[in-house]
Amino acid sequence: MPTQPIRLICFTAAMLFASSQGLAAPREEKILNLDPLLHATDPDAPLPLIQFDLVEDDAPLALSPAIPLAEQPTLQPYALINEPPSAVAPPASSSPVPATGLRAYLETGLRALWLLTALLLGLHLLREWSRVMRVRVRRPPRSIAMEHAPWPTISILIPARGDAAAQSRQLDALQCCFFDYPVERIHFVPMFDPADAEVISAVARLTQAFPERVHPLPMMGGRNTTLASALHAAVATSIGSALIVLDQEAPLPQAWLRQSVTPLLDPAIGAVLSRAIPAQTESALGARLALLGDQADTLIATQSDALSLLLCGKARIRALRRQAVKSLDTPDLQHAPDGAGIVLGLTRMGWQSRLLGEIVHCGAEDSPDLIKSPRMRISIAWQSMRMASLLLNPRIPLGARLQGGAAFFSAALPLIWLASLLCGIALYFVGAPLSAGLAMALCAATSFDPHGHPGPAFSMAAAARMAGIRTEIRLLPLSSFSFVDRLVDGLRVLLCARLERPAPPAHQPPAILEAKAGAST
Amino acid sequence: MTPDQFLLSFAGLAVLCLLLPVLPLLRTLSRGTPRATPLEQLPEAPARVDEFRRMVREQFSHLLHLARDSGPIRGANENGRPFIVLGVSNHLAEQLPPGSRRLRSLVLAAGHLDIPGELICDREIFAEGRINVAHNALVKSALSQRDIAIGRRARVTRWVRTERRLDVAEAGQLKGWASAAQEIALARRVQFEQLLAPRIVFGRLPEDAQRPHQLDTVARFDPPQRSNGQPGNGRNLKIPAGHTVKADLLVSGRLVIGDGCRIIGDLRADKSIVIGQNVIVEGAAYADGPISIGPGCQINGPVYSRSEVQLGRCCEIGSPAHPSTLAADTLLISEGCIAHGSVWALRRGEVLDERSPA
Amino acid sequence: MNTEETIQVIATAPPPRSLYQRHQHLLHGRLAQFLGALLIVSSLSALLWHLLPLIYRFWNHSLGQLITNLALEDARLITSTIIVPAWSNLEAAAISLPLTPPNLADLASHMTGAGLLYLLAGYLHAPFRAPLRLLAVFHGACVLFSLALPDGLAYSVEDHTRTLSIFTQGLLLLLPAVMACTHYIVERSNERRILATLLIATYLIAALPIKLLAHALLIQAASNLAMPTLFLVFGPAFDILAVTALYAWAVTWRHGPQY
Repeated sequence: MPTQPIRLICFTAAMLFASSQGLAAPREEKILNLDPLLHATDPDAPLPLIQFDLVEDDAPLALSPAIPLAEQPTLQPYALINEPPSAVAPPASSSPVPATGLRAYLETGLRALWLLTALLLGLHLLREWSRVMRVRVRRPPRSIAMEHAPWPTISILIPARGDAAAQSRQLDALQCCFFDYPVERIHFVPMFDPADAEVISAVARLTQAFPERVHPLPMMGGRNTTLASALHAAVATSIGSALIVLDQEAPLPQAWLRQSVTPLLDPAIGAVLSRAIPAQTESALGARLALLGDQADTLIATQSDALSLLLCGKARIRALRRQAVKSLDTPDLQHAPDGAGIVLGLTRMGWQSRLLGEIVHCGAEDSPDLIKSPRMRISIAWQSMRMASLLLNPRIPLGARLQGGAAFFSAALPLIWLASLLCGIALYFVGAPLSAGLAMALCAATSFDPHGHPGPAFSMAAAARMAGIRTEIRLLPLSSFSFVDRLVDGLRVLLCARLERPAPPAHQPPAILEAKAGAST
Repeated sequence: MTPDQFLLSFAGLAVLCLLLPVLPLLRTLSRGTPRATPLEQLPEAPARVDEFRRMVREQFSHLLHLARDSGPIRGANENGRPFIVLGVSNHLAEQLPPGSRRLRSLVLAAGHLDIPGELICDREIFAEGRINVAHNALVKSALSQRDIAIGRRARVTRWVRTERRLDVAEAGQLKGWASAAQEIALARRVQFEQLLAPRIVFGRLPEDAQRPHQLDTVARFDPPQRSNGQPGNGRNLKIPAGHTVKADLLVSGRLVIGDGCRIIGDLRADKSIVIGQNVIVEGAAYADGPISIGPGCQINGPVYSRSEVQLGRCCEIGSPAHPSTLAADTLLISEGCIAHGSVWALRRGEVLDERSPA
Repeated sequence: MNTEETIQVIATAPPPRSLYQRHQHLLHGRLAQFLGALLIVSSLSALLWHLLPLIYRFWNHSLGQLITNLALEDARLITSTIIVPAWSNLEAAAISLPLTPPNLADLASHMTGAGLLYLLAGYLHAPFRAPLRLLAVFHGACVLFSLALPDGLAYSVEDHTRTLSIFTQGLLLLLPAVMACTHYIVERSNERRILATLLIATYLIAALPIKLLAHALLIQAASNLAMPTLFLVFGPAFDILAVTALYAWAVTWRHGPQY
């Protein structure tokens, strides 16, 4: 019985070996043994139709290798339309183009590149599998919402999203909202445009409803009024020891506030990624697919994936990261609240801050929030490639090595995936269909993260089952479409950024922010 | 069949092969966006208690009223589930056939309710008076407006809620969620999971309940330094006995607090925390590894560990004015401890028997 | 009473435990699961292995029947043997069809088709737009490539179908191991594990002849310009997608009533 797994392993190894050596391709006589009945000796004779009913019962088709193959006609150039079909010879089954020196080098190089990318993708698969297994086996501590605790005073930042009507509707909804948190310890920081009278009146109504607990944050309109650039002013305006940032279309904090603040009671935790998943307005299907990916991002993430999460394109996380780096670079900004100013684990290990600083230093100012997948940014990718050397440095702590691996895998994987696919396509055109097929299969097997980051199907399925969205797992084949969509989007942004770069960078005025509180009322 | 017809059939077969794997997908798509039910939103024990209470109020209030006057009522609801409604002076044992070990009916009592020993109750029980669960009985869920007493080696498997106090005798088991409006008292060798009450007493309280005298503490604590005069790497930290520290203590290794210390701040260790005797912590204690708390300690804030918390005798977590949370994978609590607020053992919780230590 | 002694025990740090002791609880109750999964994988692999001659027979017979009924007079079924050194032989069925080299009209029609696909993709929603456009661009690039290098696409229908056949066969033989790594880690019922694996294997076995012949007919109808696109979309990647779709369905099977 144990010979079967051994045989399977042998088979896998043989396929890999054959594909890398080109042995399995039917190019040599001893490899491909054809039935003489199936071949006419004269290539111009009409081809017989073999009916298996007439052939004797299951006689093996492979006969002696001494029987010659049919002649190998060469491929004809493009024929004219009115050319008689008799002049068209069928292309031979095995018609390798004679490999010239350049072509052989090209093929060898492509195979080497393919092997490298396949190895990295395989490592990624193994890493994802071990993550899933660790979660399945260890049953990570349940995210508990403490019933009784010294709850800190918190501030909720309400960014200005949507039109004036939507903003005032959201602000009015906050007044009659039920919170699972001591209401007297919640403060509100609504961002608004001072030129908008409707929103101003809504802010005034909110101030009346919660006297002395609303700290309006007026900000001028313009390109730089994103959440990330406004975070510093919001931090300065807010009160309390934690800042809750509502991201995009996130639901109002009713039932998840206590659960989100509970981990912050642990003094080593600086930021909490809440699992209130924002909805996408573009299409319902996109929202459902994003939900699948978000569960996998948050549920089976470990501490060494902190950087992976930081790079995963969530505006809130990137904003927190920038704020953290700012407060590291300029210590006089340390008056930021504890919860908002520090990113995961920064207080524990000093080296993490250096890593973060290195990654983010590459142009935090020229990365607009419009980038949907910052992992596709070539600068981050190169930085993370450099950080891969951390993996092999025995002198640094194990945690730093893990972080180096996380950074490398999180940022460089899309490029590796693309390289693997391009290698596969190139190998196909060079004449190695088995290698090409293996490359395409591997790429297809790691194309199930709807956020445009290579990921296998089983981690999505395991995370979705843990999250209780079981039936949504059936949408997994569609995540491949979403994956390609986001990848193409990232590439487009990448190319646009590369094209725009030669233009002399105009001096952008810094974001005009009003940091004083209570200006509107 | 002509070749053209066969070609058409073949095309249909090919399309079928193409569509076959995605049929579940298409069905899921056609059903539209489902209501997201993450694990946190699954009906938890408090929600189930509320649901059961509402069902009793809406469906059984008049039956309870009738049973007060006319005696026990047996019946079945619209789902075919049987129920027994007992009057004030009825006993459940009289309603059971002799020798029966299993009760599949919902039991509601207008007065006190006594569950006989060795009986297995598969459904919820409710009493407007006191509930007594005798030894070795097994109850799924219990709700009472007065006290509840769980006998020796009796078990509750889902939840128990009382509006006054809950007493669990020796070696009883509380699986799931237990809540009392006034007090929960657990005898030794009781196993529990989630407790919620203003005052939770573990084992027998000592007769001299007053707190031991606090030593004269040293006000200044200097962190240990290396031989070259540089501060240490902060991996492990040991506070000598009798010191007062006004700071958060965050270490990446082990944290040891000596006897009689007074810490005003939070404790956080990536590995373990060891707290000596008679220590007062005005803050929280978090550790990824085990936390060991010596006898006579008082901790005001939450205590949370990802692995194990051991509590020595006569410890106190939280205070009546400021309830707190004690949560860990495994909780081993000595006799004489008091907790205020909630106590969660995510995997196993037990009151230690001092006579034969586990 | 040894109360004082007990207190001393509690107040000290827990004693150091060995690696096995620290991870003993992880093994608890899982050893039987692991052995069961291993047994299932071995049995299913052995079953598939011993059924291979039958599967070959089914493929050959069904392909022969399809070719006969479709009255494809110039089609040939070719079974090649892949000799794996010092081990055993595998067979790969392939279909040989004569191909006319693409002419200028073919090139023009393919380019038009690619352009139309690109334009029509603009009407679709977000997840589908970019992949279809990418596909159109890829197809257009293939056509241009074959215009520039007429002998660049040196594959025949037989090569194409043989590669597909080899891949499906490899996937079929590796399927129990793949399912053990992906499905068995979330599914605890042994019956469902076996059922899901056999279901996917049955699909792969039953769909292969249809896929091969459909590829051959499509390539014959649309000249070998369509071959790279077909290989990219409906080749090994399609096998993976189909297996994933069935796997995603199997993962969602419920145990008992929903509460």
